[in-house]
Amino acid sequence: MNGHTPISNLKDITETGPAGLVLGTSAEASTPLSFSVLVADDRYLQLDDVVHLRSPLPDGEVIDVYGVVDEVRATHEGVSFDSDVRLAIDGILPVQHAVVAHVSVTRVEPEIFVPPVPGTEVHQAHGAARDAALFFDGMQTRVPFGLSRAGETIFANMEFLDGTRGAHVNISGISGIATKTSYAMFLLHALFEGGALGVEAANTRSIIFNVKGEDLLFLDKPNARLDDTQRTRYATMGLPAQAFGSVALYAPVARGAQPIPDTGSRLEGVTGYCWTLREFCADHYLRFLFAEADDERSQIAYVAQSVEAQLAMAARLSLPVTSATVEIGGVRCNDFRELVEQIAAMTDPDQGGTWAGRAAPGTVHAFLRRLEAAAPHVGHLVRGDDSEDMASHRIDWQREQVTVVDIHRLHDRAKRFVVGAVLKRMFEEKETRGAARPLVFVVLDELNKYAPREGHSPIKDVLLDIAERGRSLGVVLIGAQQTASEVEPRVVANCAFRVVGRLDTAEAQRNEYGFLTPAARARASLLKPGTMILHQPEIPVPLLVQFPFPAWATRASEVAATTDPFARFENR
Amino acid sequence: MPLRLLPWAPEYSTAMQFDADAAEDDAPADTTIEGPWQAVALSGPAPEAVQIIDGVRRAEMHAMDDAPDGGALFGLFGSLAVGAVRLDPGSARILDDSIRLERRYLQTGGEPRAQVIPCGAATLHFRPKIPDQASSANDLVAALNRDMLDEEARLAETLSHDESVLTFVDGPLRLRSPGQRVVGYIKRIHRWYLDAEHQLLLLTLKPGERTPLFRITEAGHERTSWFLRIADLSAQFHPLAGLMRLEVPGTLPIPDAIRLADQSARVLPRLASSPVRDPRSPQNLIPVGALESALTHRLGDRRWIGRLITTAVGRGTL
Repeated sequence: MNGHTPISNLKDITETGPAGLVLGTSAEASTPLSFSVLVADDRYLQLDDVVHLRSPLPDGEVIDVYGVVDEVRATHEGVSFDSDVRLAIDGILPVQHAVVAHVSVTRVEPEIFVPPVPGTEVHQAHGAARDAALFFDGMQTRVPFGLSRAGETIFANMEFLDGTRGAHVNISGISGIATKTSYAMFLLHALFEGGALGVEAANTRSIIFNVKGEDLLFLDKPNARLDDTQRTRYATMGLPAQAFGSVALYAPVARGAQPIPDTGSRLEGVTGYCWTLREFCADHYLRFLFAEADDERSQIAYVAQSVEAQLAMAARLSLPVTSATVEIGGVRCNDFRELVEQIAAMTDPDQGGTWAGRAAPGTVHAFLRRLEAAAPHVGHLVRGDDSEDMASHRIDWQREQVTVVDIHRLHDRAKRFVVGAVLKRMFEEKETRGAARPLVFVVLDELNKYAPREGHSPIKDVLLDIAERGRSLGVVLIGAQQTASEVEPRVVANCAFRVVGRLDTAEAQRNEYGFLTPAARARASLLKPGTMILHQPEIPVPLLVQFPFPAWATRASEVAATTDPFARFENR
Repeated sequence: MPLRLLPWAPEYSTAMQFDADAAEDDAPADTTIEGPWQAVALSGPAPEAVQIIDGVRRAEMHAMDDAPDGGALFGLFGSLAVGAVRLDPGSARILDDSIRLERRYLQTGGEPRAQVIPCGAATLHFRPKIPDQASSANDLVAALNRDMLDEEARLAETLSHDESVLTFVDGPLRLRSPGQRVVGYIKRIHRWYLDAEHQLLLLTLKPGERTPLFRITEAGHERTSWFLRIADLSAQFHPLAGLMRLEVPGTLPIPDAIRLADQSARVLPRLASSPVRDPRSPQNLIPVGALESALTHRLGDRRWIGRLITTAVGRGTL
């Protein structure tokens, strides 16, 4: 049932001889869940090595025990003083080296939890034994999630990602060193190209918010710095070392009359995005201007809600329906500024406004102040310009496989607005469609900003909705943040996969990282870029994974010069 | 000289035991065989490699049986192990092949039987033996000690034929045909062999300095010996406590003996143990201490073996 087939062909794993013997001292007693191994003189075991042993039971049955090395210690035996090491190397005191590896058990087959008998030979597990140790043998569909340090592929069970048994990935780590975004991109690449999605791969979509720098604006360009070593690493995992093939790039429109994309180093192929005033009103986007945490608790949220309803009504009544503008209280609003003014007129009790209902005047004024404050940051993204083809500036996440929404240059308020508006629409469209497949992957860094631990906000509601219901709707969140302790626990708790890159030492001690073993916690503060610790539901110990250098460019300087200027077109 | 302490832990007695000079009838030591009686200037380099032989023994359980004539017989379950440690430049190791582990069942008479005691997957064989001149339990312990010394001598006999190394054997030399580079070292000094006037030099020796050679004859057996200060003890200890006596067979030509004596003086002070490490410092050398613990470890857990013997005897399987 669990897919375990006993290792019948022991030849594979015994060819190199045992890596060591199970220890039986009382200090290093063997237990059903962990044991220590005296490493053979001519061999070594290192952290993350996968081992296998067969321990006999009194009735003649044999249990297969699998595990992962999580600590290795070397000692001089027979010395009692720290200074003895000096005597030992001076050739005065005879000592003996002993290297002892500690193993966390990952699997016992059949499930008879007895300690391995001391003295049992321990073998390094490769091939079938390694697959069994890490439960790869029972995975119906598996996705490469990286490489072990020994260069072997580490798989994840697709069933825990596609919603069948779980969904979502959460990545924590210090910005700049933890390579969270790069790993998220690698995961997408592995998902799209690794075959786990089958025929659906072509229709599977992803929305990526580019929150920092412009590193995600070159996903469709091959990386000139990719060398053959890295290509081999991709090949090991059965992945092509190539850039993303189907990418739509969106950048916010620049301020000013023309809705041209506001980007730095890349202009070609980037679409400027904005919303029409009509969409803003009809689709209930006002709430995302009040997306700071805690607003929900106050009366302001109530005011925003009533105003939102009035705006939706106004949008429905404004004619023509094709127009980007709306008419409120008989006044046509042609840009965001005018919309804000008109909202003020309709809401402020001092001006005879009634939209706020029975809210206290103080609350209404607070609402208006915040609306005013948001206007300069968000105004240029909500336009009423009928002369433009506004539809072409709408973020169409279904057009290409990968949709990158650049928000890195926006003010925080605008960032929240864009993330909220895009996710809300996508989620509603998925809900309407009713089918979970094909899946949508959402990549969002700085989760702590959008779903903070404390307080309530409309975006947090959307993200919670994705975290809690996305599994059944086919929306998979690949979220990332510096510190998981600052993110709404329910968002993190719903993630089947937890990943950490380099962590701050103090952060690593927090409860949010309870899935890390003490050794893994210690290592989390040493991880180098390109190395992560992965915890997945089926494997009881976190595994160290490495992922290859991006095959796609992450900055303008990495874009490979294409010799054939028409190469791009042929690919399409 | 004011009051001074002796460094050995009291349970090991002391490094100096002025036994009643039972052999006073022996000829006095000949102190004239190597120049004037003063600290000797060393010549020649330190030996490249050194090996030291030592052994441990342990009385496991005492026993008692009926003698055929109706009296009582004493029995002793004992274990002993001997081995060697080899020091090369930059490396010290216990010579695994050299280790010999023996278990004995000694009885003061009668017909002792081999005692075979099952012990997990292994078996402990206690070989029967009636030692010479043993009538009490203490005699049996002494006999076990003699057996250990015999084993040491046997091992030394083998190892000392490797003349590329300088071999030190624990205790007075008892070898029948020693190699050319074997030195006996005496941790516990029972006799000074020197008269009071010559002993004065012992007080003034500095660490690494030795007395000239002197020849001693005991029971018609000739040896060439010398004293060496191996450690500079702090002021509270008696200066004689930092000495070690060494000897080579009397048959060895004097120039060869001088070379060995100088080499011993070059190498041993470096190996002297400190009081924090060893209750028998400085005479119980650091590598010897390590060898002894390794050998004791090989004897097995004392309480466990005691219990195995108790169980086996209790079941009447012996």
